[in-house]
Amino acid sequence: MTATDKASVQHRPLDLPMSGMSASRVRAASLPARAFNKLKNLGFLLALLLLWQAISVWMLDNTTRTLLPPPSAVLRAAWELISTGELFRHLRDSLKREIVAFLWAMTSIPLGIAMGWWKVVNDQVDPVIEMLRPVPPLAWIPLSILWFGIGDTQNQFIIFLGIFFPILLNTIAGVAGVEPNLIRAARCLGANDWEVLWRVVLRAALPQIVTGIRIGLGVGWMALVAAELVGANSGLGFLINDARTVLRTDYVIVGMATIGLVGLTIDWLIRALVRKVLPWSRALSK
Amino acid sequence: MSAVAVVDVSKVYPGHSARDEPVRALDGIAFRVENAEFCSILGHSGCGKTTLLTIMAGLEQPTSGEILVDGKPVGKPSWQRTVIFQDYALFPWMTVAENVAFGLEMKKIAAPERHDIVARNIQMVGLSGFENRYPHQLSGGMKQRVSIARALAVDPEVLLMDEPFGALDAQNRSRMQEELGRLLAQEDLRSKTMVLVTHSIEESILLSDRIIVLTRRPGRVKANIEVELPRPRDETEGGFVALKHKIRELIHDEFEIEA
Repeated sequence: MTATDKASVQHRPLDLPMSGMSASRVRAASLPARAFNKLKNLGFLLALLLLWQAISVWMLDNTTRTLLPPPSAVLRAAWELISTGELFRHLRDSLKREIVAFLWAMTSIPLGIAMGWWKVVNDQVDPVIEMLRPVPPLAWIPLSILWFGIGDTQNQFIIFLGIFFPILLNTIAGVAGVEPNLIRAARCLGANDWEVLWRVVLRAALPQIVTGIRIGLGVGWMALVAAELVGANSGLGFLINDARTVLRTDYVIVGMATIGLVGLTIDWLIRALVRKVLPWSRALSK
Repeated sequence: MSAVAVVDVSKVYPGHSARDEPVRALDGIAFRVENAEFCSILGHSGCGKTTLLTIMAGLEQPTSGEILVDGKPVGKPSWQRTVIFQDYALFPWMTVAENVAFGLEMKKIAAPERHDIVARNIQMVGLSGFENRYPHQLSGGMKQRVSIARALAVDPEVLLMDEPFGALDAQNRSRMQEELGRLLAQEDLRSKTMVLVTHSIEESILLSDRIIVLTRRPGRVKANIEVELPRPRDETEGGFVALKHKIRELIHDEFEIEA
């Protein structure tokens, strides 16, 4: 590095690399402190759980307690469902549906790229999309049951609808929003149309496509539960609805908690993947 | 190794809506940049100088007139005329080395040779050791160095620069001007034809063999000045100051016309 670089080095963003040392020091020194901080933040949650336990055990009578079992009973029910393998079986069926639907919904990525890149495609396809998009996936359930019957295909169709549109819209926006100078720079460096699309536009749009995937999987997961509530013989949605018919509210709550936790995990996994695969995309890696 | 002729170039933009008057950005621009010459296009913001540069690059088409490089009309953009942009236009998903290598990949240059060229150009702009950084990890000045290295790596015949230091603070800007002056004086770069768009009179005198002063809206050639001051140039030296005053007068007139 030349002497002239000194001035510019001072302008380096704070996150890297000069502050790398201090950042690691903070991390190293405060591991127990950080754990404590995390736990401290759980205080209110813990208080709520205790309150719930107290209300359920001491204030409700035997009949109403059936409607709101205490956390201890829910934990017991969770253990039952886990040890018999039932929870795992339903979870597996739900996840399988989500994944199959997601793979189908990936078709929205090439479609979105084509719509974002070629005006003709957008002009033709956009009216169709605009007609279908405002219809909530759940509104398709009755028709979907008639078409596909009760079971996997019906569920996958509903989830597919939930995942498809967020990915599509974000892909279109991502492609259309690529910094024009990046495309110009690529052309001046000798890239042809295909290379511009593949090497520049697609990469530049990737963070937004991933955002679409995150939103889509979230919406899909919600749609999944709804689809399973009314049209399935297995899955977490089926589990909680089935438990309701026999008044096993503890099972219902276990199912609900599982749905929430899995949704959270999916989102967390995608974010971790983004940090790994798109390290340059600061907006997402935060 | 190319002479660039700008032949009677005009550019008219249609208005945003049907009621709007069409905007005449450039009007009958004509000048020549000789082979291996450094030419600045100087003008106020809004005089269409950036438009002229993008037309020279082939990124936009003139409404009338044409650009000839060695007598042949400019077609599509190509690596023979690379552009250095004010906002750097680095690919954020590529490291410094990958950015510099991009044009070489497009040129289908084999990997071993590519690595050599990349390393040489990164070293030339003083960024050795930063090869694996991403653009967002660099300061503005460093980003512009990468962009210069990327443009030079493909070995263009004509190098087009659109206010390359416009986004830098004053201190960094003068440093980069000085360095670019030194860089371009190197043996293997002296044969390249360079066109710089700028609104800074000092910058244009510091670097150019020829300065084209544009009027504003529509842009016309107001003056075509050959700079014959010895290099390296000194901003405090008499000839420099005199030329600066002369150009300032020219541009000052422009303000009064506008008012």
